[in-house]
Amino acid sequence: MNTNSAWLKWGIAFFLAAFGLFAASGIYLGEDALDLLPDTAVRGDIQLLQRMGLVNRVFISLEIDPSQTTVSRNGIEQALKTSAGQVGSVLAENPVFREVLYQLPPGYEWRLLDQLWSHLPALLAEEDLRRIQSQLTTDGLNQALTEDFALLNSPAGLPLKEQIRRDPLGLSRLLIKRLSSLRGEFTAQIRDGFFFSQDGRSCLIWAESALPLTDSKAAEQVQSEVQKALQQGMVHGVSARIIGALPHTLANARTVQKDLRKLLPLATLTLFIFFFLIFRDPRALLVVGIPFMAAPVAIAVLRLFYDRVSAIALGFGIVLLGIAVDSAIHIYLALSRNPGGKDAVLKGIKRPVILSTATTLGVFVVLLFSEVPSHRQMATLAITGVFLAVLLAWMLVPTLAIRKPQISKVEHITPGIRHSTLKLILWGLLLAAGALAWPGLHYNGNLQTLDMVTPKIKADEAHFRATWGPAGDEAFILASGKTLSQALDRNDQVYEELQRNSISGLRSISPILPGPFLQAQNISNWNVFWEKRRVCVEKEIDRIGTELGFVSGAFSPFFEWLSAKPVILDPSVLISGPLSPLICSMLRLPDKHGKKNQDNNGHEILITTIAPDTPDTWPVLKKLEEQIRGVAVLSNSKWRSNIEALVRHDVTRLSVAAGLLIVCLMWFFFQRPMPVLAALAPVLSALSFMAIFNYLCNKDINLMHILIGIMVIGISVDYGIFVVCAFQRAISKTTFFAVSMCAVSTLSGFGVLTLAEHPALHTLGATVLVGIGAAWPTALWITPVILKPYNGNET
Amino acid sequence: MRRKLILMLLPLLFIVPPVFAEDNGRLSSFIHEVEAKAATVKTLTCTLKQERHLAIFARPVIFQGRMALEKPDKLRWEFTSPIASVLIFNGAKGLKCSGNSEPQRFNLATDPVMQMVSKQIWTWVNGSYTTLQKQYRMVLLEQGPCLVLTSNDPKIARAISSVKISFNSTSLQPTTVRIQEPGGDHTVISFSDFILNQPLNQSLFTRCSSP
Repeated sequence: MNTNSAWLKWGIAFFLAAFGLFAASGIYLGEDALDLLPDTAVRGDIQLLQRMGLVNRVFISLEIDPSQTTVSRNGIEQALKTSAGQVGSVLAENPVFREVLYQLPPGYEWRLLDQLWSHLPALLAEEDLRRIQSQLTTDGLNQALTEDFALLNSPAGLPLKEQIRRDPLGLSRLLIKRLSSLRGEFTAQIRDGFFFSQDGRSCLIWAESALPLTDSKAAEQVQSEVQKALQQGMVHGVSARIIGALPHTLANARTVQKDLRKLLPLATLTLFIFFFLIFRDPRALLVVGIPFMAAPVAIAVLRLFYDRVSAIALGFGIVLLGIAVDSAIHIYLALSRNPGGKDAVLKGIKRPVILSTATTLGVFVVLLFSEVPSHRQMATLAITGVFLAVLLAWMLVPTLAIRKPQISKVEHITPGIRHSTLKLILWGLLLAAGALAWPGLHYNGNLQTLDMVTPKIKADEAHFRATWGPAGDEAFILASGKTLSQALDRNDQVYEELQRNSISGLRSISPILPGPFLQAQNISNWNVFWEKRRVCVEKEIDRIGTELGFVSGAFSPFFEWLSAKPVILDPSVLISGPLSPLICSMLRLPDKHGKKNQDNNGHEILITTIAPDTPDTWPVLKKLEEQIRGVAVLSNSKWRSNIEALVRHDVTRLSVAAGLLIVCLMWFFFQRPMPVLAALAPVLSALSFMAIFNYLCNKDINLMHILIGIMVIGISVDYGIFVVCAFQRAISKTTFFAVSMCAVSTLSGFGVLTLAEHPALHTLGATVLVGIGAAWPTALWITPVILKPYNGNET
Repeated sequence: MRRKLILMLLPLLFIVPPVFAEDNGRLSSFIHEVEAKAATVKTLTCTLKQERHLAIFARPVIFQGRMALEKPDKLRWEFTSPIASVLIFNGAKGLKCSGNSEPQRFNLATDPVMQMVSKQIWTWVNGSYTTLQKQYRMVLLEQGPCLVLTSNDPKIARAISSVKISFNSTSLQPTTVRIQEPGGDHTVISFSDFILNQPLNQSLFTRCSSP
């Protein structure tokens, strides 16, 4: 090789890499877990949840340490109140958080009752009027006034004197009942405005993060702010549990980092030792590194297509460039060990390199049509990267390869095709077992299978549910509208429909803040109701009251109120009232916080209703979207079924497309069935073994299996191609050796990931180990056996 | 002349403060004594009589009944005549019965009215007058002896002008509480027949019917 020419090639390669680095330097990396989701309905759902602030909510449950058994009940309550007050106020002052709810304002109950009393006719439904009607009989009134008389003379009488005069029939109880709709299945009790658990040993704070909690960098920042607030605000003996997306995002990010810190050096070291032991030439290590010089250019190209790139896609896409290492190894080994001149060797190796690169690129082209955005980014990166990496390998590896001093003819041998029948039977059995296992596999769309749930998270969540409820899953029904009135009207329809189907445990603002349509209807019903009864009821109350010991006209404030014109409740009364934080947590006004990154439809108003998500309620919830315009139902069961459907659809579509493309390419290249089958044999083995392995493990296939499965197909088909091409040129030991080198390097590189704690990385490692573990021996022992009769016929 | 007057008044400047200090000292010492006595009480039963003088009543209404208390959080307030009614607080939960109507269970967490009533009653029956000193101005009158409380909080002052509590001079148990309202309405509650620190039947705090 001309030295100048070699330097020029390396110069071009380094220039390309440097240019790529420069062009890629400004890339915006996102670490958002949402990038792993299909971007149709499910992704939209999560964005809606984010907009409602539900994904970004941090729940902090302050608890008295179980060891503090000697502290009195009052002492516990005081410690929790002080801690909640201090932590809550620190969080509320921090711009990282928007809504922070830790204490309702003092006297909120009375202020609220006062505010709502004048609007009672607009709030009470027909059902409430029926209840009032049942009270208006002589017996009913007698009972009500007797109770009033007793109440006035009870310890409660002193503060209630004016209240009883204003409301002798206890209509405000109907309001209090309606207020309980804000609670749903949430089991808190309010003491001095603080949210206490039933046993009084826990106190709750919740805050909405202004930063997206599915993003690991943002999650670290939010966690740091929460910890600072806890350190500043918690008194001795009080501890905290943090619940929500935050601990999940942190556990995932930290576990991946920990795994990679531990396993990447191990994988690199293993590879280096392996290559050094086999080749005993440091330049061989450069051969492995060459394909990765394509990475900066591939990233720069990716930047042309995407404004924001998923860090997951970037990291994994670079790993995929490792596929091109196989081509580099084949070129290097062929040049250093195959007989013949350099040009002849390169000519011989050119065909399988082109074939294998074409199939790999074909597989990634298919991945471009995935529903998952990070998959598409990964495919873009891999297509550019693999193509460039193979070009660089073709250009640079010859500058490194040194031919062995002696290349004996023994290198040229006939492959071992002894025990062919036995090998074919065993392979047939493997394929049959794989075919049998395949239908038994279940596409698990539940993202929690890829979620790192530490024992602490599990324990904290179980404790939280036991302390605060609800016991089961919850569904979120979002009513949207261009105006607040429209959204409120739709929200009323949702509530009415759920009530009609006897779904209990609802959390909704509809009972205390109906839309204008329902309010007008309620007022109309109220007027009709009292028009016929008011005079009679007034006389009867006066008569019975006098008999009981009241003076005549004792309840005149009630009748004055009844005669006044009912007033519609303006939503702003509640939105700015004492329950504002609670109301705002269920109502999202457009661009309230100017955070457009969390707002997929900024001009709309969203109102949430929370309902139990059970097999019994789901059929009713599912229908709401069809029944009421502008309503979206978000639930775990829906996500699971949607993701499952999408993944199944994606898997089928992509697998069929990838399969067809590979078969077509094989047919185009080899044009006879037996070489095509022989080249595909490692792929079939890999798929079968992966199916059997997953069947024996938990019968589940998840998103990670699909992704890695496609990569394994791309790698294993290369093994088949190289062996078939080598066989067509008369088998060379070097090809077998190269295939084994590629397989061992892939297995050692990815295999260490089986030691990872993170389920996604573990799945990655295990799938590669199983797939390549099956493809490698198939390429060595089955592919030649399939080719034997074909070869015999040809010769 | 002016100088003489100043000289004459000068000793008063030194005399008057000790008089106030003495009053405060007596009040503190009395409160300390009452609280010390109250701290020894774990259970209590007594009879009670309540007179309500309200403008909306045609005539004063007199109710009679019993009270039972078990610290820290159980209380039964029962009227036996003229209308039978029971109010029970048991931890965070409660029960109220009136006349022949069905017993109504309530939860302090969800019933703001009862939450407020419970808070008020416990403030008084716990005998924590030191805590009350933060919310009320207190004056100790020798007759009785009795304490007169007026609220510092204008909101409470709008509902209650003053509370006068008379104590038994030997047992230091409150014998009469007079609650005066701004419009002239007032209530007098008298306690008698105290039984202290005797085990109480727990059904007193779980059922409206007497055991």
